[in-house]
Amino acid sequence: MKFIHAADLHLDSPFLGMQQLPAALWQRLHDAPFQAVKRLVATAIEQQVDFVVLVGDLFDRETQSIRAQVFLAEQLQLLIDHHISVFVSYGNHDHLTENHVLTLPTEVAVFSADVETKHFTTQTGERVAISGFSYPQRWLETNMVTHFPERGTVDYQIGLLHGAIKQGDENHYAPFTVSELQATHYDYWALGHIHKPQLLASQPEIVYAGTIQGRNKLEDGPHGFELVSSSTGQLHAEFIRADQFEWLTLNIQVNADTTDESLMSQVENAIIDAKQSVFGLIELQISGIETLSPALVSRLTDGTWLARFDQQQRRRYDEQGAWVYSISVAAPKQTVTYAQLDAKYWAQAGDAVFTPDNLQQTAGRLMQYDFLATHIKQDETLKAITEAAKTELFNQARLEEEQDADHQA
Amino acid sequence: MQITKLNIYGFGKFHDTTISISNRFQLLYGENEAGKSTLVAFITSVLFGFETGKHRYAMYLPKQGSTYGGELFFTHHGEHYWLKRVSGTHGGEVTFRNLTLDQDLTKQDLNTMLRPLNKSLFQQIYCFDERALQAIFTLNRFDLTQRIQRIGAIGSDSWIGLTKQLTQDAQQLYKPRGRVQPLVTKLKQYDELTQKLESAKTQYSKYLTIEQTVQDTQRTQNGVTAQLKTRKAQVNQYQRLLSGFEDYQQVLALEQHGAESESTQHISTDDWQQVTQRYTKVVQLQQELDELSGHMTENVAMTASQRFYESHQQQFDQLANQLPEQLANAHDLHSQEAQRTAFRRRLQGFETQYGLSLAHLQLLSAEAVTALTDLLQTKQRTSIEQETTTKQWQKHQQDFNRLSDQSTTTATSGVDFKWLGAGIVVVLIALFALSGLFRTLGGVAGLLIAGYGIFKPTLNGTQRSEADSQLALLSSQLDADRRQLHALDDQLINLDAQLNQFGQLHQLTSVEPDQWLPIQTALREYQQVQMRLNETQQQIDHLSRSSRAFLSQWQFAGEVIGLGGDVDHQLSQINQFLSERHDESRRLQRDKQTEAAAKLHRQSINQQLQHGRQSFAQALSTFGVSDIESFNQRYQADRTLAEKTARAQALAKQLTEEDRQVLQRFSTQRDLNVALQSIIKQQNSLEGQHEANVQQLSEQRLALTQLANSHQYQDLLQKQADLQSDITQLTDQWLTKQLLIKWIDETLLNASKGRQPAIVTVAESVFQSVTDGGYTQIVFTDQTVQVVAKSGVTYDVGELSSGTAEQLYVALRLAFTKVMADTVDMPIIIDDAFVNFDRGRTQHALSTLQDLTDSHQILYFTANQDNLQFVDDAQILDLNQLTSNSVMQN
Repeated sequence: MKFIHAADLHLDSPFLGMQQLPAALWQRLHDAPFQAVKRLVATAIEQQVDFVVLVGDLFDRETQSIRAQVFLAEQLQLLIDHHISVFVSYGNHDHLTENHVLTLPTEVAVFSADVETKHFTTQTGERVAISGFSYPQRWLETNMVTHFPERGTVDYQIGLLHGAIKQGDENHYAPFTVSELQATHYDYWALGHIHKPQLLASQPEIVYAGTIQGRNKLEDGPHGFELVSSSTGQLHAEFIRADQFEWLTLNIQVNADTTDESLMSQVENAIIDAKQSVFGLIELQISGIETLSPALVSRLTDGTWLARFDQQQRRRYDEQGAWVYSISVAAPKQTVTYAQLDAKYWAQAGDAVFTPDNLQQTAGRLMQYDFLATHIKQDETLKAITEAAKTELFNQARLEEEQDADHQA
Repeated sequence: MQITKLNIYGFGKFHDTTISISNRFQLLYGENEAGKSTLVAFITSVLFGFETGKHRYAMYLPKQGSTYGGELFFTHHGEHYWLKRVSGTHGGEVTFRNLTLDQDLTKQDLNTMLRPLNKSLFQQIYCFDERALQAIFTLNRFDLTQRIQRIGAIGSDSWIGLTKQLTQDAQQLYKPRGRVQPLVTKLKQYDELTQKLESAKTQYSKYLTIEQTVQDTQRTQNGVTAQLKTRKAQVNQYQRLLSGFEDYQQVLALEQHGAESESTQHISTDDWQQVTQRYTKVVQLQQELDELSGHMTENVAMTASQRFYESHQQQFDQLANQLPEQLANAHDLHSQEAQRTAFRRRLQGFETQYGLSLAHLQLLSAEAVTALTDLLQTKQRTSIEQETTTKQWQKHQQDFNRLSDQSTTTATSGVDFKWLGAGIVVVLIALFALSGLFRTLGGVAGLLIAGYGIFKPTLNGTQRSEADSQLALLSSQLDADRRQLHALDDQLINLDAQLNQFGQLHQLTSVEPDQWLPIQTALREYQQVQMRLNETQQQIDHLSRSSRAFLSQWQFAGEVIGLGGDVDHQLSQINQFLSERHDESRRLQRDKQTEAAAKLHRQSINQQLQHGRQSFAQALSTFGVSDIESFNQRYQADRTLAEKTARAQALAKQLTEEDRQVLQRFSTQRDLNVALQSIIKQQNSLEGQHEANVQQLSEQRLALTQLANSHQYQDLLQKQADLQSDITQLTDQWLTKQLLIKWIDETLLNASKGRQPAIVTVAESVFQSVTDGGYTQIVFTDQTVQVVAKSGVTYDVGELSSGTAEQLYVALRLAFTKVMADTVDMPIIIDDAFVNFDRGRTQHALSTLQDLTDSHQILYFTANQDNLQFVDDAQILDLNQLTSNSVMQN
């Protein structure tokens, strides 16, 4: 018995912050999720799997792209044409609705909002039971695991669950615990919702397949799907890469001798060292700016340096197989020298100023925009802004010193 | 820290200059350009390091090639130090020594001692100069209040400047009520895009709607297609049934009445062949019989001649026996007669040849023949001689005649006129045409020619006598010839006489003597032929008689045979008659035999015929018909019926149960046709519907494909995403600046608040002093700074006169420096800070400063000479009097 487990295709979600990419590269990136799905289908056909399970978030109900849905329908039809069954459960992004008319082929088995079990017999006569459900709306606070049936008298029982491990008080996505899943004695839990592929447990295997192609720096590392096969009565998932772009961070240490040019070659060397099997989308994490000339720090933070570097990588990205799309500068570890006398005041004030509330309050009307509000509310944002502020303060102070020196003349 | 001595090797305008500063309060006086700023820079540079080449003017490189740098002597926490800094890396080469402990120290030790100060911080905190104050004093009230509020923080001026800058920067990014800032613009774009997206989003529901419609249309279409199929089948069925309607109806009829029509026996093809064969046989037998009867009557006839012949059979047979002999006789007779004719013709031929009847001539004897031959030979010889002589004479005669002719001609000729004429012509020519000698010569020539003409004949006469002698000879020869001829003639005459005599003797006169010898042979032949002719004649006569006798015996049958004509003919007639009779007798015999056989044959055929008729009649009766015609008619009818039935059966097989139902439902062709037309109408309508559906489906599918392929929505989404990330980035930048501003401000406020009590205490005393007790109290609130006047009235900073506000600021600034210096003990450097103060206040301020020197060294730089009077001379150092290598001592 052999099947493919994939989730979170998010076919129609746009890529963020990639405007600077050369058009050709941008097109490749844009096509990457589609290519990944094609690779999945090709693998399924080549491996002659018995079926494919897709555990939610195939696309985004909010965006509702016809093209994505038609594409998916075509690809699933290919599977069906090759006598490969397809089981789909919808997740929070593609939840079922009243007027749920999707262009998926009729042969695709779709799970309803209530947990149900579909039975399947492989060509070799192995009996498989697949239990799962689809989200009826965007949020699902219920613990759905309790709704799953007891393991039947089949050869293999598989659970499809789009959800997140229970954390804290607010759980919108079918919260569960690993031990609950283990208690079902199913042979495999095919999970969806979390975009980074990961193995939660191995007896039995409880696996997040992850999104099929990483879409931002938070979805770094390899992406693809799981090829699950039986061996001595147990199911084992093998991760198969399907992505064409990998998001990664390169740490670059700079010092007093670093110049614009030397930094470029340093970055290029780092890219060569970090050479990936797939195209790398790189964020540079630059540390050690304390000794860097304030002007260069400014060029790093205001994008001037990257704009220059873009000229260079435009010529070489194909050969290098990577593109630096962003630079983040680690805040200086030491405070401004002449702020040391006031250090406690700076710290006090920093604590008072760099708070989520203050950030949101400062943002003011900007919070009216959902995407901005979401962004601003993220811890990472505050952290990044704090870092940036520190860097800028540090740099401004150093610039000031220099100016003062000039004033003395 | 207290600086006690500066030893400048070379710095700016100074070189090899030593300045000793013994006082806690030191006023350094110098007019502009005296080097006040240079000295301040020297102190900070030696303490904190030289400026790098980046700030060339702040380096104060010595003008006169002296060593860059210098020494600083100072006391700190009660110990004496010596610090030397000359040019070198990282701010200059440092030599540092604790003089009290006589201990060498490092640059690091210096840094540790000065920490956390650096040059900039030192300047920020411990130095304040006129220029910085001027900048403050040009602020508006609000800003000044802000400054005053934040005066307690280190470098607050710079920080405030930075926040101003940051605020400006932030405002360039975004203003909540702005119009042109990038973030504002982007947000506006985002709003527009969101609206567009909303409308584009309808594409999806449109797609779903169309997809639903397609499904509906497809369902309808399936129904239509199914109906159309039924209708088409029906149309085909009806059309088929219609085209063979009558046949089908017949089939149905036949199927109903089939059993009834099977009563009489059908005539099968086999039956028909059998009966027809029997009939043909009967007819053939009848014909044969008829033919046989015809022959029988013909064979009876016999000729009259035959009858006569049979009645005189014996006589005929007897005579017939002689007939071959008679026929041979007749033949013999004919050949004899032919021979006779040949003989007669030969005899006649002889007579014609010789022109006389040979019957009377006798044959010559041998002697007679010899004699005759001699005679004839002699005669011949003589004749030849005579002939020769005659020829000779004739020749002589000719010669004679020729000669005599010649002599005659010569005698008769006279003058030659040709010559004569020519001579005359010449004379005439000479006379008339010539002259002189030529005339004479011509005349003579002419005369000569004419003379030749006259005398020519006379010249010829000399030849005549020779000719005459020849003539005489010839004449004598002629005479001899004549005589010989006469003799010969006589001989010939004699010979003829002898011949004549011989003729008479042998009765040969009727024949020429030269024929007498040749005729002897002919004559002998002639006589032999004559003899044989006579023999033949006798033969002929005998044969003729025999024939006539035979023929006379045939006279009894003369009429029957028709005898007549010559013997030959009659014999031939008889021969033919007999031959005919013989043939006829033979034929009659054969006929008799045939007759007998034919009779037997007829009897047999007759029997067969009877039998055939019986079986034929029997066969006919089986099928209930009387004759062959009605039988054939019945057969044809049966065959037509059989074909019809076969076809009907074939048709019946084609008919389905539905066909039968249809056929039963519609009794007439017309009804069926009406029903068909109605179905066709339905079909057409369905087809129209089908076509419309196809059209609709293809349009809808096209619309679907277009929607599916449309990048519009996707593009908008991507644009939205791009905008979102732009906006997010800008927002982050803006927020960073905003928070940074807040942070700085908060820090400044906090620091100020933290240091407030200490600062206010110092500031109040300074302010009171400089205002000459006009104000007694300074109060910091959250919003502003207030002062309380001596009268007890409270004023906001904004309400103070600008001079008073400046004084307040200076007081606070001094207080701040003092407070800071309490933390880190460093000299306070003031550069004409009281330039805007009036005399009184300056005096107060300076005395206040002197009070501060309890705790701190104060270096007061001024260009204002007035200030000198407010301090002890000992505290004054005149920079103008500084000279190289001079030690300033006061």
